[in-house]
Amino acid sequence: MLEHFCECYFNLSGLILCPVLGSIILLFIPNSRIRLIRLIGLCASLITFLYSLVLWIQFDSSTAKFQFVESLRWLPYENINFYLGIDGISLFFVILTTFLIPICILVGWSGMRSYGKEYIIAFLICEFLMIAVFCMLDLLLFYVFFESVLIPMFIIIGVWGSRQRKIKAAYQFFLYTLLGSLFMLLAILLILFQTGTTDLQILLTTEFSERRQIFLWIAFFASFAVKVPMVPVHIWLPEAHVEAPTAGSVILAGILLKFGTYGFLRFSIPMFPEATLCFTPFIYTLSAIAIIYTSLTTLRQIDLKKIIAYSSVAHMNLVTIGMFSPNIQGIGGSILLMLSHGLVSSALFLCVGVLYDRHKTRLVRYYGGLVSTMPNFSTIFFFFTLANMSLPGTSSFIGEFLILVGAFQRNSLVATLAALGMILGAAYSLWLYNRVVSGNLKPDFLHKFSDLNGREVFIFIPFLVGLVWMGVYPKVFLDCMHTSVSNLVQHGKFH
Amino acid sequence: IPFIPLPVPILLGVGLLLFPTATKNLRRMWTFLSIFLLSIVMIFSIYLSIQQIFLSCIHQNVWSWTINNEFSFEFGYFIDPLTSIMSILITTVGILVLIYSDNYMSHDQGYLRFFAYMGFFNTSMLGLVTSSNLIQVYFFWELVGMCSYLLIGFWFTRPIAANACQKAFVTNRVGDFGLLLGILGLYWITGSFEFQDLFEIFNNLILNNRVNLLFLTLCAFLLFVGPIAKSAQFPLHVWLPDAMEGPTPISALIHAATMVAAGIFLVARLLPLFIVIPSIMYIISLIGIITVLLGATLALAQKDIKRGLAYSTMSQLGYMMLALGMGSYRSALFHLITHAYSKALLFLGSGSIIHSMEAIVGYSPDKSQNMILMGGLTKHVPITKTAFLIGTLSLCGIPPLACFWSKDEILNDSLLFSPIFAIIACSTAGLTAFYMFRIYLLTFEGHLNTYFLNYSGKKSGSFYSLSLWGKEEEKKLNKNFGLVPLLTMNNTKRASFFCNKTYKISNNVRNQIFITVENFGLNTRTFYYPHESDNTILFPMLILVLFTLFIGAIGIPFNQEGIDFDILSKFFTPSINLLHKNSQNFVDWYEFLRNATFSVSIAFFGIFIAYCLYKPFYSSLLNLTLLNSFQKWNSKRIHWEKLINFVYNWSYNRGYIDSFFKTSLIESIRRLAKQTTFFDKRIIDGITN
Repeated sequence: MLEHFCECYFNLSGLILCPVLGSIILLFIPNSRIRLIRLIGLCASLITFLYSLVLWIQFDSSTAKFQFVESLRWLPYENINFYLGIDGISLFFVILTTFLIPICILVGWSGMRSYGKEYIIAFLICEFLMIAVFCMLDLLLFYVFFESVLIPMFIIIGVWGSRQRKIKAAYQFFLYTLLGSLFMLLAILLILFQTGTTDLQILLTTEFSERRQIFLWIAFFASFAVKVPMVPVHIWLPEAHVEAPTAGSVILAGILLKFGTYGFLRFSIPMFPEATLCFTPFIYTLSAIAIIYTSLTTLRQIDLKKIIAYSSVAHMNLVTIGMFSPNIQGIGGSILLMLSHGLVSSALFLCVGVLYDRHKTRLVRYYGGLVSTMPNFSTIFFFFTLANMSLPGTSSFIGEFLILVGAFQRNSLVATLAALGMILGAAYSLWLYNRVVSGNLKPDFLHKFSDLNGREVFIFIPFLVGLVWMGVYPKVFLDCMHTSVSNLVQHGKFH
Repeated sequence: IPFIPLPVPILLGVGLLLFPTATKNLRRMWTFLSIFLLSIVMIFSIYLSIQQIFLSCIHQNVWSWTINNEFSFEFGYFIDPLTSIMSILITTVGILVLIYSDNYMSHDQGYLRFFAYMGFFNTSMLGLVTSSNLIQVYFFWELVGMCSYLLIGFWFTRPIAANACQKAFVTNRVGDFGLLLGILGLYWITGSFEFQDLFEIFNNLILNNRVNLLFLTLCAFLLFVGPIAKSAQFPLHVWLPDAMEGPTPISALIHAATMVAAGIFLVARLLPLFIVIPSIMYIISLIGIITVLLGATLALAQKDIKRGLAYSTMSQLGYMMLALGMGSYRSALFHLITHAYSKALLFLGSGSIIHSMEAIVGYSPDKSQNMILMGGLTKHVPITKTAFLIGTLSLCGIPPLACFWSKDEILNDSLLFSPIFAIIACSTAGLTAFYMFRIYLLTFEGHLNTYFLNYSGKKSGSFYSLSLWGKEEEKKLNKNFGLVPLLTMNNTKRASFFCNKTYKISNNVRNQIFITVENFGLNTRTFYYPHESDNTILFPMLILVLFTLFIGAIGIPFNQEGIDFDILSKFFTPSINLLHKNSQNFVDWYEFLRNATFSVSIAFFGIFIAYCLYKPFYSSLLNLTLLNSFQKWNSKRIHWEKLINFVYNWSYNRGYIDSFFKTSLIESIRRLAKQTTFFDKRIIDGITN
């Protein structure tokens, strides 16, 4: 009885509608009742989170097919359907999204004096769009949602950003992403004209000629590479991070960066296997350069947020290396590293946010000796620093290790270069930690001495639990994605 | 086994986060709990090792992270004689250090934090030695490195400590990088992480010549990079002396007895793999011998007592590495055990000295660990002195003590291996004796030099040794201040404060010395200012003295009775079958005696020189004034002086290796980083805007 009930009512459209409903309710509540607004926002996002957990429980990990499939006619004459479904790859991204949104709302709990209602609505809309991106099985609609996430993000950076450069940063962010995506739109139109459909499940079985594959691959790459970000087009990311509010950074690092790699995994690799094979050396070179380059750049940064932003560029490039090594370890590892990076870099941005709330500066040189005034914060920050440099026992280690195992089988030189990034990673993470936390306290610059309050501890604890869980017992996650991943690998070999 | 001590740090961490005051009130209970749990592990591991003598090794998988059939991590434990020896070592030293540090750290704010870290360290170290595959080794390898980072940086408010721990971690990370790549390469070749499968497949491959030998050697070398960093071998040794910024019990446990031995352990574990590639064995022994020589020369002129000991640790680790490179598995492990006990004893002794000196010269490592300020402590801390002397003698290789047996074996083997190595190794044994006795004499003989700095040298003898080997008085003063950052006094005030204090104290002490000069031998707790430490500190030291005295016995070859009754080699025979092993057991008693005499004579020679140079009551110098003694010395041996100065400078500046690293590597990375940032800012950003 209960099972039947679950099967009927717990589906993806319900998941997507949850935040939308929440924001619609919020629209009718007057601005003055700020507590109620926050509470409703939090409840809506928490319900969505629980909803996604139920989906995970119901998820059948033994099949590689898309599950919870729903379709809705959207543009009948062009044969485009509103087509939802998840498999082992996208399941965890959905959960990551629904996990991070309540935390973003909690972060802005007391800080957002101005536009409190709009802040929460923006995040709920953002959540809706992001879940839709991860669930969408139709190329054109994927493109639509992929682009429309930019709108709330643009608003979040532009309105609640911290400094004068925020408008410029928001524009840069917008333009870069849009420019890349235009190529993808062209490619999607081309596919539509050739095959007459944009349904992913049909497209996965159709074969394109090699020349066409290469063209389409490049077009998709242009869009996804900006999002990853690969090296020549990464400059928008640190800018956007520095200007965004803490919660914005969390969304940006935690979810938005995964769009690019998710896109590669969902579309580029299975749809154009020959082109992928052909471009793998290119991706490897670019990513290896990016890892070394951004790690070195990180060593010179003076802004706390920029350090974390650059380090996340390095990590995301490691993800692309893993993704393009055509074996189970590489792809599984890259998914795991994406998840773990979503947790680690978000948590680090939250740490920076905690510091910024107290001291109103993000320059490293003003900090020092925080451990004597904020011991709990230092402990938590230390833990995430360790996770950032992928110490065993944290989730990043499993991801990076699997990626390196995968990549080493394909190309040992690239794996060596990627592992060099680990040394540099340890160097910059520890450098940051030592500068901020140990050493002498600088009382000239730091005035407020308050440790984490209850809300902040409550925010960090889920991150800690998640990281350790994934680090010590990743089997749960790996089992769920295993069939999908091996299907992906088989698919590439089959063609 | 390894997870038994784990609950303590976890509970402590949670407790500190949630109920800070309640946890702090119960702090002694936590100590007892952690010691108790560690004792359980010790009993268990002793039981296992007794079992080992009769049984073969145990291998069991506990749980796995299978991804699919072709790729899995399996967490299990693998227990063989090597493991059980290591775990006994870790637990015994660990327990003693815990007992010791209960007193040593009792005035520290981070008492509980300290025990949490220690528990975590013990867990991960035990995990390392019981691990059954390379992944698990890597896992715990890194955790051990992290614990060492935490413990070196224990007094995090000191910038030096913060830098030291960062340096240690990054240097170790370089080693981990090599280790990881080596593991991946081996996985690629053999398709397995398990030790046993690995060795089998590897041997088959070598026999059938199916793989590129160069690549194999490269992989093996990369694997060896990990132990290089962890055991502070030649190119990556720079972190070990700096690691002495941590509390002294930590130096004893981690940087002398257990963690640095992890590298040796790994090489020993992988020896079946290395031994089939002759070139890698050659590299191992070469690096070992370089480290032996380097560590010994660098130890010659350290002022800080702990740094001196650290360099000597490095040198001894070099001996072990050398022995492993020569394929004499048994003697390397034997030396590992004996050295661990002796060195732990020495470190605990130095901790006790530092503790007693701190009261006089102030709580900063530049002063309380400075050997130049010590001297004449024999009278004040007799028990510590005896313990320290035994440790020193043992390390020098004087017969009845532990290290003699093991070091002698290594020297023997090196003679069989190659004469050049043997010469270097033997001469270094002399150097070892020299620097160990230098430390001992500077610390315990003569008069307390703190007063000399104030009274400007009435006893010329000890001041002489100061000025030759301790030129840095001027420099030192600059560094001293500002190290105790939480004190709010400004520098000048504090300086004068210290001066006054010592002045007064020294007056008192000197008066009292003259009164009760007869009773010194009897009183353990003299009430003079550099006082003997508490019983909790002395107890572990005494136990370690016992170990140092008698642990050598397990490896003594009793050839005279006709049967090769040798516990240790019997212990190791099932685990490894080397050709070298057989010849080892047939060492002639006569030959053994000859070699032993040789090495002991070298050691005595070193001791003699040290005695000449550092004996404060050197009779001919006693009545001369300071100036005369200088002139006399100079006129006699100008060349000697030059040589000494060269050695001294080399040694004091750590063989210029640190500065070389600093200039070449770090600066170049910095420059590169600068360029990339520039590129990032101007070109990529500039084009778009």
